[in-house]
Amino acid sequence: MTDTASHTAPTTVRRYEWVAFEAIWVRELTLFRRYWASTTFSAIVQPTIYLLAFGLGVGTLITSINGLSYVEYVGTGTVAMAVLFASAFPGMFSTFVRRVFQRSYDALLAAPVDIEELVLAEGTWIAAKAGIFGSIPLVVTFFFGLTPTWGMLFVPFIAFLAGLGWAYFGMWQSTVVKTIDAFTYITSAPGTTRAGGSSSGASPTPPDPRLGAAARRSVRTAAISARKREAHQLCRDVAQDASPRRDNGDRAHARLPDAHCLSERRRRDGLVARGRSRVMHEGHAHSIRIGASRTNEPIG
Amino acid sequence: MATPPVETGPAIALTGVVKRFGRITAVNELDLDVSYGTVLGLLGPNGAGKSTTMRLLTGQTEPDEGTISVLGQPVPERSKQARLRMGVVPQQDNLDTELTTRQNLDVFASLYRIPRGERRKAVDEALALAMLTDRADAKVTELSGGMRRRLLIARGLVHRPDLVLLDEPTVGLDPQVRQELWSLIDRLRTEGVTILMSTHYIEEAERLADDVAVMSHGRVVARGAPLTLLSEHAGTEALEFFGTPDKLGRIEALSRAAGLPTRRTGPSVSVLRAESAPAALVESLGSGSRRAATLEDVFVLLTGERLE
Repeated sequence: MTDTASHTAPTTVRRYEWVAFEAIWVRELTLFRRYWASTTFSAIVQPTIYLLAFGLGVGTLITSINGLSYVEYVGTGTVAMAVLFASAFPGMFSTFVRRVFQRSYDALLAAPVDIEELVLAEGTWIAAKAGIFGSIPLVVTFFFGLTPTWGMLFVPFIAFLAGLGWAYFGMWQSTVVKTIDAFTYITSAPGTTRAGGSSSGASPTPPDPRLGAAARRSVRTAAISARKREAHQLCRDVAQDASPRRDNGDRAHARLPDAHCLSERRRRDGLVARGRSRVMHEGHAHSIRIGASRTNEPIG
Repeated sequence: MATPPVETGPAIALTGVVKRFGRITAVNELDLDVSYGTVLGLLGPNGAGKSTTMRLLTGQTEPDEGTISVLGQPVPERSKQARLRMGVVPQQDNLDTELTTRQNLDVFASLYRIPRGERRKAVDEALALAMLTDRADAKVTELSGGMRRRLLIARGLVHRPDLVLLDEPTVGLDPQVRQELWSLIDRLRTEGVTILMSTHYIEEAERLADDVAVMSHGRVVARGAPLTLLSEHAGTEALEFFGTPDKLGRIEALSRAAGLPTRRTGPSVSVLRAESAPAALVESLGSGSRRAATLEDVFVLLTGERLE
């Protein structure tokens, strides 16, 4: 604060501005420089373990499924899983931690950044990471005998779109749950999306009501349409192996208290019956895998 | 900052603002305006609505009723334009703890649209202002509490705002750090920056504020220069008595009968406007110690003695 003239502010300010978007991405990149190694490590090691376990174990018993070799089958599955982990978890946990514990979003929103810009920048950042880290298992699978084809070049883009949907799904959930522990309902019973209950109750100082209200609206719309797209694109290829994973999901269910499990199931069945949760239902087939593991993404 | 704002009208104007959270009314028919280039101290007990008022000014909370204008812009409609020229120092530390001091400032330098070529200089100046130049490359987790608070303030000043909102800037800091921050705020004032500072440290408001607004239950119950408020509500002198609850009760009754306000201060009772007390009354009250009236007396008189 010397006696030089103050910085001249631009006269017109638009609704969406590149500069706000860019600044949030720069912030994310700066943070990313601290955790890229661990993310890369898990993106390589996780599919390797899956391919070794299933390929050398179960794979010796099965030669092909639906005309695909077992390596092709499991390898592509790990891509879907990596995309899911790289997007839904940061969407849920990082967003929640930053909004409620670190209050980083409070700081950003006190600066000339609007909620729409923040949601757009955070969502696309997570999706970009999902696009890259979701494709690494594909490269790993090459070493297990998958033949590269030109069509595979589309995988990062499809992974980006799927990641965008899952990121917004996670961000939406992070505004719905009351406590971070409530995410357990989602991570162990995906498909039952209203896990944490509503946060609309009266609180003297909610962290940011704009995230609660406006964002919930926009995120919800984005999440549902992107999730639908994602469900169609990825599930179609991968969902054939839904049955073994549905078992996983049911085991996850069994860990919940019986009453909760029953009511959740009844509710889900009811929703499906009423045809309201077509999206949830479709998403269920591979989202069930969430319950199988935990993210390696550092929170924050 | 060096170029005085040419705007007419107040820098901040709230009219009939109401904000409810469920059944709690945090801000109740609030009217408040702050002129350009002045420092307004917003005084009030916890829960009086100070922080909600701050968040209404940044558009982070939307009012249920009333109108708000900040730097000539209607809020929340054109809040983003107002935020461009506004610096916000929150009560709660929300620095990026994984980043360094400089990186924290870099992010906000770009968020505040400082042109790329000028960012480095702006960040260096903010570091110097907060006396953190030699800790520029330290991670936030390595900084002391006082340094973190200084960084938080520097972050709100990196773009040389015309208006600064300080929410409890010195809460929880040791006396030395508080002095440092006070001189920093004083420096901003001499540069013509408009400051709205919420605090419940009376001394802070007395020293720094041109004008004080006392808030209670979501509205302003008194407004004026610290000295004016003093003479209006507490006079110039107070008599303070210690003793048993019975004795204190008797003193209170006698004083009130004579039309003098009193307030409890823990184990003692203070009779205000003591300078205007009749000699006979002073005689009957017994031996007390005479002291100057303080803004704290005004504060307690106006906002009530009991916690709610």
